[in-house]
Amino acid sequence: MVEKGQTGAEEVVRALAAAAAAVRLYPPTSAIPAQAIERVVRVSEAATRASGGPVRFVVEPRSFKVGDVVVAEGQPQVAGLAEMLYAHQVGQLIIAPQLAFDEVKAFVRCAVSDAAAVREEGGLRAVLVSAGVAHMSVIEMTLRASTEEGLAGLDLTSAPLEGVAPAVVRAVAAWARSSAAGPGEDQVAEAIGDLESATGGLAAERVAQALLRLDEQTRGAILAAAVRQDASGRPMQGMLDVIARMKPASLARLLTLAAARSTGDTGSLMEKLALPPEALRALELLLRTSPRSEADSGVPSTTDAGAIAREAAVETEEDDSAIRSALTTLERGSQAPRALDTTSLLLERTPDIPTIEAVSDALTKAVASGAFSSARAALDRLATLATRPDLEMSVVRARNALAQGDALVRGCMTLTERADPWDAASVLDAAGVAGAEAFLDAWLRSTAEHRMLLELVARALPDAIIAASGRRLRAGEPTDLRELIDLLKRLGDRRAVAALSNALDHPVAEVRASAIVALAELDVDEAWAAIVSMLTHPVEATARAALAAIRASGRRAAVPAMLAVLQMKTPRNRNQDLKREIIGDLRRMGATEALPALRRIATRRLVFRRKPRDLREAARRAVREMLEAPNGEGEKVDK
Amino acid sequence: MTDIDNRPDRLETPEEMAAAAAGSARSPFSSRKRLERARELVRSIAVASTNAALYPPTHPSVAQSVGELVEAVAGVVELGFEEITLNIYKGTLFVEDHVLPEESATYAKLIDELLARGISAVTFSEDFGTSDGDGLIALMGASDVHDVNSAREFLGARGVSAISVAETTTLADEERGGTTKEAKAKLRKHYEGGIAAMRDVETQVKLGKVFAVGPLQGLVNALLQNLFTDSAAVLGLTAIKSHDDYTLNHSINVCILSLSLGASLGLDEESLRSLGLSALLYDLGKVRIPEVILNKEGPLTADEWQIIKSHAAEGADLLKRIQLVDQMPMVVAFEHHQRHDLQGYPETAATQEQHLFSRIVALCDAYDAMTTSRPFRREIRPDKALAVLMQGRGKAYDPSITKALVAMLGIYPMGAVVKLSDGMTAIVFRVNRDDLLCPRVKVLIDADGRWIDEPQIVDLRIIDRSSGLPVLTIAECIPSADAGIDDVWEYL
Repeated sequence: MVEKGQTGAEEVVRALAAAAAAVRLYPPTSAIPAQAIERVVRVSEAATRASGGPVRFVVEPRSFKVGDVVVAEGQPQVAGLAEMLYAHQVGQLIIAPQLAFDEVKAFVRCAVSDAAAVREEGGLRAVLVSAGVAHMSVIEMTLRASTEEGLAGLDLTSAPLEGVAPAVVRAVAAWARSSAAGPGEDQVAEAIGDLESATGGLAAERVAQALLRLDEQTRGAILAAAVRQDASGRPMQGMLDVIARMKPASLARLLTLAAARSTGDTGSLMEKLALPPEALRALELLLRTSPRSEADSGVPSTTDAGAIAREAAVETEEDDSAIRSALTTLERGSQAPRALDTTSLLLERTPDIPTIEAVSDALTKAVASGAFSSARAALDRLATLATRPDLEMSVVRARNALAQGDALVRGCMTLTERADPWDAASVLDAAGVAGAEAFLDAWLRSTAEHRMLLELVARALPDAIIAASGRRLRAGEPTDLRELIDLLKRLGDRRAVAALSNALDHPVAEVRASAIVALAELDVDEAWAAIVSMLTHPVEATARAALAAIRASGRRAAVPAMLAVLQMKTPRNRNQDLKREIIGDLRRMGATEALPALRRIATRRLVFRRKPRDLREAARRAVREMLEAPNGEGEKVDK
Repeated sequence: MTDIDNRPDRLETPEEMAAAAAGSARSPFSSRKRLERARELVRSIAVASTNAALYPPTHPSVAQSVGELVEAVAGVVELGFEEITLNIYKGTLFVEDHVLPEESATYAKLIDELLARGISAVTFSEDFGTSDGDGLIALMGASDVHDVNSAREFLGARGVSAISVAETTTLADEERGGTTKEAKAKLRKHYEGGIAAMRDVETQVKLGKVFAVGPLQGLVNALLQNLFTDSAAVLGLTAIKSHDDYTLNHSINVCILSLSLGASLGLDEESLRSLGLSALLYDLGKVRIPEVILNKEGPLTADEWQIIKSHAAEGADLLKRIQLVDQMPMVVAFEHHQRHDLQGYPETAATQEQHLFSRIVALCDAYDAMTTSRPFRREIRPDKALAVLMQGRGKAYDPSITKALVAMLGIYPMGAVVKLSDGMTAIVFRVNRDDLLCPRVKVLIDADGRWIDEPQIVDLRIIDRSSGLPVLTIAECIPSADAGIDDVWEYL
């Protein structure tokens, strides 16, 4: 086959061109020409094996063709060889299997010789024949092989097959006539036998091809005539040799038809053909009866092609919907859980270390894609193996692998509404501290919408999330911490008080203020205790934030702490504004237990600066309003 | 909003339609409603032409028929076409590439009149209006227009801008076309390279070594690139069958079929790459099955059958190691025999349906296996193999994807050897999406068994206008070996 052996053919011309160049450029004593020639032998053998017989090149003025395809195009050395052969009036170059070193050597030497001198000796073809080159031949540019009539008069390597076919018919007729009376006249054997080996092989193949230009009845008759023996008991061997070169399927059909006509069998006909082993095997495969019938394989004896075509040609809405639905399963990340499920099934069948490692790989990918359900199932399966001494360490490694890298974070980031938060929580929990940390990273990177999904996971894993948050709330970026405080606030879990209290020690006031708000929302005694303690915070803004929280809650239990602030002495009275606010709050709360303290402030004398004056004024107002209140003490403030 | 927008049969917007048709293996006129619009277009041209010949231009019938023509063009344009071409190819009418057999016989006069004016193709653009319609029927009535250039001048002189006429159709180009020998040789090289790469993989696996995935990915990429440029040439490679290298050839063929089917279903490139690699490797587990069992000619014993069945899990086990490159080969190897109804093997407690890739590969595996000769049975004709797949819909195979495979391959797929109604033997050269029973074929052997020197391509959709039936039909599909054809691919 042309295309099949094309690569090999290209190698051959390249090697041949290189050999020609080597012979031309290097002295005979050099090893290089011999090496180049050896390469030609080697690649020729490969090429002829690949193409199943001789390789034929058409020689163009500056290139070679195999079939219609130019080979080694653009290679200057190859173009040079083509030019050289063209000068020798060579139209075709044929290389047959079993090419020998000496043959290539002789060919190359002739090819590089002066074309005019070679012509004087009868042309390149004649020179090669006289040099004993049999597996490499050239066809010069003429259609006629000789002046003879019939097959011997045709150049069987290039004459049109339509012209060869009738000549074959005539040759067989000659055999039939002559064999009846005496020794048969085998014109095919004569025509091909006159040619050197390579050309003869090609000629026989072309005659075999020409047989296909005849109708089947004639082909069958040719086979029947060729096997008929002459008076000396010989068949028309030349024709049988040609038939043996037919391609297996063509030959199988011919044998089948001929056997049916002669009521014989294909086996006896095959025996008469000198088939090479490979061809024989291929033929036997084609001709043998199938061990299993189509019915055995469930194939219907008839089919209603029209009905199938009508059905298949129309895409129904159900088809369209089914295919669209199937395509959605290909969304990014959807393969990972599938792979993990499959690997888990393999683990069930083969619980060994390599499979655990495979599960580990798949687990990480699945988690990264947010497939927590599959991951949880895989972890459960791994857990069943954790007690086996031979697998224990592999299981541990698989779990640890989960904690490495950013798979858990990515998984949390890609969590969807379809995911079960308990599965996610379970997987994060299995990863230990890293799981909760990953969750927090994901929380910080997520949008408000996605946080609604994450919140469900956090609710399923509160202890670990709160603990991890608490560790972070001691320090870190204020923006991030405010987001974490928001998370704890959403959890609404009294266990978060300790974590939030950590934020009260944070150096940034805004963080402390956020923590105060979150603690206030938790609305548990421990939280209020922490908030109240902030009233005495040295940074007034923090203390005021605590006061604001107390104010908003109207929490009277905070009054003693508020009074304590009123009595606090600070350098240069820096908390005057806070105190004024506290007085206002006490007034609004109607905290009569604060009256003694308020009176002390209200009755202060020798107050010169504005802020202390404002403070005294606020205290006076508070005392007045408390006393005027229906449940007041009925006393009057001393002026 | 036009009247057309209010039609109850309106299916989808042009954009939706175009998107749906992009990856589909089916003709854009595959549904009855869509085909009806194409037929209405032809009918309205014929009626307008007849009315113009019978009545003066001012007659109400003429105006009415032009109005109907404008509406018919709009009806087809609405299906997603920016322009629509009426083609006459070998005396048969086509709207775009969709044959209209009945109309070819019924409107023979229209065909003759167009051909008499040297016109084989009339293209209507989406802004086709009444003045264009008037121009067209005037042309049909003009007795002094005998060639396409005069026809163009005639239309130009009347200010017709939404119609163009041509002397030849693109259908003829398709017939002449086909893949160049160089491109075929290149593809064959990829195919042979694929066999070598798969052989390497097999060897490495047998030696217990980890194999390189890179060469296989390279093969899939090369096939995909060619699939996007010349899908028929790539699909044609599946006609290459080998008895000796069955396993290797089979995996490459399944890869090609899967890629083609996947592309026709609308898979994106990344998914196709993964599908291609999965389709190359899905049967890798067979390297762990003794060849004596794999190639056994007689019936298998229960134990042997169990061993054969183990190849799916064995394959997945081998492929679990390449998960970091691609996870799907392992999944497909595990699932490809589980069947659509999950009654196959390996048996699992899981009720998850087969992955789309597994469903595609299972179908393509079954089709290529059936159509290849095996030690225990001869190859099954492609049409019968497809019938088997269609029978297995809903049981072994996914119903919708099976139909999509048949729509892609045709009833007589590329490379199928067929006997024609006149006794000639041909090879299916290209499948016609609009008529799965009537492909384009390459006639190789005449009725007397003579091989034809230069095989001719014949489009079996061509209609005999006197009967309204195809000139040639497929009498039967036959195994290539029975026809004496060795290498079908050579002729594609």
